[in-house]
Amino acid sequence: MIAQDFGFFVRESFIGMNRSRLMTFIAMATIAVSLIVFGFFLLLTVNLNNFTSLLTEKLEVRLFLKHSLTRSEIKEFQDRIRRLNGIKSITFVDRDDAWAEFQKNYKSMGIVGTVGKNPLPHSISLHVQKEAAIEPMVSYLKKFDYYVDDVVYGSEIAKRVESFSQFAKGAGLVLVLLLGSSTLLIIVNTIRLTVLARQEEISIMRLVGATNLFIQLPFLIEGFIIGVIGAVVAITTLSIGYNWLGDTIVASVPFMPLVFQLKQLMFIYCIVGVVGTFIGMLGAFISVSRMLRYQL
Amino acid sequence: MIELKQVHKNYDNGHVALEDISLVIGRNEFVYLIGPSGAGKSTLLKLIFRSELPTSGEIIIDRFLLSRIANRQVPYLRRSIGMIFQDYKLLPRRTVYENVAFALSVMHFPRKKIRRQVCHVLELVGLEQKMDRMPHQLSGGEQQKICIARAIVNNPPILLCDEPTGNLDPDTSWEIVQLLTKINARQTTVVMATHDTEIVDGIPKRVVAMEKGRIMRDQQLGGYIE
Repeated sequence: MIAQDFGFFVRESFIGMNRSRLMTFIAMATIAVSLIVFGFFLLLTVNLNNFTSLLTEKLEVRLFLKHSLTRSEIKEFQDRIRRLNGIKSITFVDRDDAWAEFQKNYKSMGIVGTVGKNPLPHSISLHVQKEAAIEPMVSYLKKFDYYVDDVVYGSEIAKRVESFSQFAKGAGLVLVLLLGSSTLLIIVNTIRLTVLARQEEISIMRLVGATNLFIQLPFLIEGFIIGVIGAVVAITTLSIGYNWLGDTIVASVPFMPLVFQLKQLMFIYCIVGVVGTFIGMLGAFISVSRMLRYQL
Repeated sequence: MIELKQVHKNYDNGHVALEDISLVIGRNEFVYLIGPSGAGKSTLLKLIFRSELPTSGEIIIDRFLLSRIANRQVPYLRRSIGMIFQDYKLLPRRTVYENVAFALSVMHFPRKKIRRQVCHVLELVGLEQKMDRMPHQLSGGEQQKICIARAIVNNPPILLCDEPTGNLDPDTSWEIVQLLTKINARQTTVVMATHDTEIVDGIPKRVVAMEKGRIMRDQQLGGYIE
């Protein structure tokens, strides 16, 4: 295809959009709205993933050991645990270090003085490789009652966050698919209106020997432009909205681990842009191909 | 150039449009296709143009075997066939020049060459002074000339004409047919469907007479009535 043809196609596509202004506007707005919802769910998913992975990282199992144990018994127990499957890391925490840490952390609360001497036992801090392995691991470790006084772990909250993020991902996916197909339908119909408006022109093009590609290109460009404009509107709205929402949340819940890295956000906005453009072009392609198929 | 072998065309509703048509049209011939409405003249032209497919039989155009070519090759077949119509089929929102140039844009001609060829062909049909007008500002005869110009602008070896004078007064019809014979003299095969007796009798050429989907007569330099 020669470069001069390109100008021809672009001109043709603008003529087409100008001829059905209202539908073109509606198509752009629909793409924008769907992409905003899509982008919102992407942002939500990224944040939930970030949140759960932070939690899982912090998910430690703490084994509080019996006071009666000797150093060598502790050493021996530690080695036994280390050989178990699914353990990511284990660290021995000396009761004196733990006490120093505790004193440092809770100095302001004034309980240090009341307690007096160190009440803490020795403990072992242990991380598992997979979150799902925690429960069986804990019940297994509890059986070592000669060594273990108590096992503490924060599984409940992790489970809840995990299941919520699963749900959000599923719901998001369903919603995105629904929105995506309805957007596609609207684009198909919008472009079909411009195709129908130019049916005569198309049949004359075929008459003088235009290839299908030649006929399709102006419409594909039209779909592309509709998609891009819809995507730009969506991305602008999303980034302004997310920053505003983020600031509001952080202002009231300061430790909320929201994703603000430019790289990650840019990635999401890129996905939104690509999806919008793709839907625009796919819609155009479907409506023109349908039209071309019925006409010899 | 154009060859039809035992071509049948039935429509889905059972109507038989063409029955056992065998016809050979040589290079640079001028052929009138005559007969009453519904005789199958237009259907025959549509089959040659491959806007419809025969129910059975074989059609060979130039180097194309129509039953064998894929849909995506059809545009290339059509570039070697010019077609003109009773109702001109012009783009209403484009100038005379653009209407003709359009045919060449579709074939990816470079702009300079388009300019040159369009001017040349408009001169041939006598519309070079009106190339910036819109079709509706011109008379029927002039619109038909635009249509002819568009059909021959890329010098196709075949020109099909479906009742080209159907909407025109006798004087203008004469002018159009004179133009077609001029084009025929430039090494173009012309097939013209018509029921204009005056023209067929006035400019004798080969006549193929059709009735009810069959060829009744095929005569060199024949008149409208045998």
